[in-house]
Amino acid sequence: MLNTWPDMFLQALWETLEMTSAAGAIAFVAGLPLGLLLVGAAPGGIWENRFIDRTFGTVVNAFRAVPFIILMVALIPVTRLIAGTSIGTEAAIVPLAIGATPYYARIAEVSLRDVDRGLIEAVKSMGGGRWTIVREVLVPEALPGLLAGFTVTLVTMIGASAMAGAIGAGGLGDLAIRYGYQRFNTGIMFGVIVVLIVLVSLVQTGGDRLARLFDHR
Amino acid sequence: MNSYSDWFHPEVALLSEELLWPYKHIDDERHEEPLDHYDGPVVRLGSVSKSFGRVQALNDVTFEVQRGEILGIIGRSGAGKSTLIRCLNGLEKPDRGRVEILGRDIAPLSEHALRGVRRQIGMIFQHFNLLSAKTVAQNVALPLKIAGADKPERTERVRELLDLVGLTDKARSFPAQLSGGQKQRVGIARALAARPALLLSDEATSALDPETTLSILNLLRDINRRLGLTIVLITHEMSVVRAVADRVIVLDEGRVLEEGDALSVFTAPQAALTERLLGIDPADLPRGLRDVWTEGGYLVLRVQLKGTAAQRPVLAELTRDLAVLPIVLRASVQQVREQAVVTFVVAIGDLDESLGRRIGEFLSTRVSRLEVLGYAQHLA
Repeated sequence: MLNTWPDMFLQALWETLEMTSAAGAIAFVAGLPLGLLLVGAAPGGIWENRFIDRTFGTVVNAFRAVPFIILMVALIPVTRLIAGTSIGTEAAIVPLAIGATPYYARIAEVSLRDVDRGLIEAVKSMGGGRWTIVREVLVPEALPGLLAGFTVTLVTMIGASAMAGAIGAGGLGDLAIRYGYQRFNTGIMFGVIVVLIVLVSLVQTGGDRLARLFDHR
Repeated sequence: MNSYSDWFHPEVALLSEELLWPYKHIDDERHEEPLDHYDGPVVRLGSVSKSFGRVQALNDVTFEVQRGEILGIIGRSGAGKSTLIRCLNGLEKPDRGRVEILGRDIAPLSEHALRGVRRQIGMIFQHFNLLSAKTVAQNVALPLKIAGADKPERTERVRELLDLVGLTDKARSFPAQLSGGQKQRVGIARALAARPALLLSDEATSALDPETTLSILNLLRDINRRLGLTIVLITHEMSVVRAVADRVIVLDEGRVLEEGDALSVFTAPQAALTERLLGIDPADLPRGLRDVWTEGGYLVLRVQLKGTAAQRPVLAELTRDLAVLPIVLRASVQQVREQAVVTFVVAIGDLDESLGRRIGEFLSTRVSRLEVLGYAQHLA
């Protein structure tokens, strides 16, 4: 147990950042290809495939239907398999990443689907293949939306990470529940809220700036 | 001399030596295909049909496009123009028929094999379809990148092309910063990047204002002349076809309604639809036009003058020699390519049978086309 409040805040902030950034990175790296797969397999897509469209669509929906707190508990065996333990900050990264990946995949899918079909046709007419379309059209053209969507995902994950306290992951949410709520320490509660507001604002502002940087439309 | 030069007319080859094929590997790819010494039509469509569900988009369409010509395909919306042009680069597969590009039927080709064919065909679009995330230079370089050209080659070629379309100073701009006309110039530069044997234009000027349309059409005409590039353009605007096309196909309900060289289609349209597309509107003629002449009525003629005939005072001569006083009901001057075509609709009163015959004889030797529209009792 740490002694001073500032130390506890810093520790909790660090744990939140660790969980959301690690799980966020995984969600981006796994969710974007999944989003591409969903868009490409959809009717009229660049690799139209009913089976993939249906199967992956259903799996993604199934994961998104389960509330995060339940998903976290249900995934304990998987977490143990991957992280070696089901308790702690590192362990919480596993369910967070698994929960956020389908979430981001759907958001990415929306941005990717919005890319003008005329552009895909133009690159096809130049003799470009599917990967050229992905590399030169879909991803660059959807990039502002993909970044804005990732910002939304990160903010949602900061919220979800509060629940990770339930499996001993620590973080800001855990601090607020244990000290602020269960021990009636209103100061801690407010402190956590202020830190979360600042954190979310920073993430949102940073994400918006980045998205604007890549937006030449 | 590179074998690609066989693709162009000799005088063009002289003119654009450095524009010839510098991409050895792409050239090699061509060697695999039986195209090297091909000098037949660039496009040959044989009985092409295509339906979407119950809608028959193309119905037994057959035509050829010769090397170096500009073919204009005109029709109303829904006539099958888009489907037709998309068949030419395999973006659409016909249900039946042959689509020969440079002597090779592309209809049965796989998507992968089609990629090689498409690299020889440039395409420009109504909405330009430029990639918003790429600069002008990057957009133009994309076909070269797809063809596997290395960076120095791409840079050099992009410079040439932007120079050709007059946008050298916009190389680093993004498409959103350009006007419509500039965007289409980038589209043209991009379509020409990989030195195509054929350029397809899909309503390329339909989103532009008349003045910009003219400058884009002039550019296409110029490219056609300088590079000997074969162009197929589809449009619903007669003025576009009139400005650039050597030959015209009128498409309606998926069928070729009329086909011929531009001047004859414009001056002597065979089909009623072509007349309507040409803007010949019966509403402009006197009401109560009849087939038989009655006492005191007028003879209504359409007289068309083109070439040297348009430089003679034909109506004045008519008055001088036959002492008749033609009333001009309607007159138009159209520029078909470089030639002015003057059309008059005139009414002539104070008529008797022998005078009518003499007017006919007099005019038929002096005008390009004479048509008796009918007789009218009043010029309402």
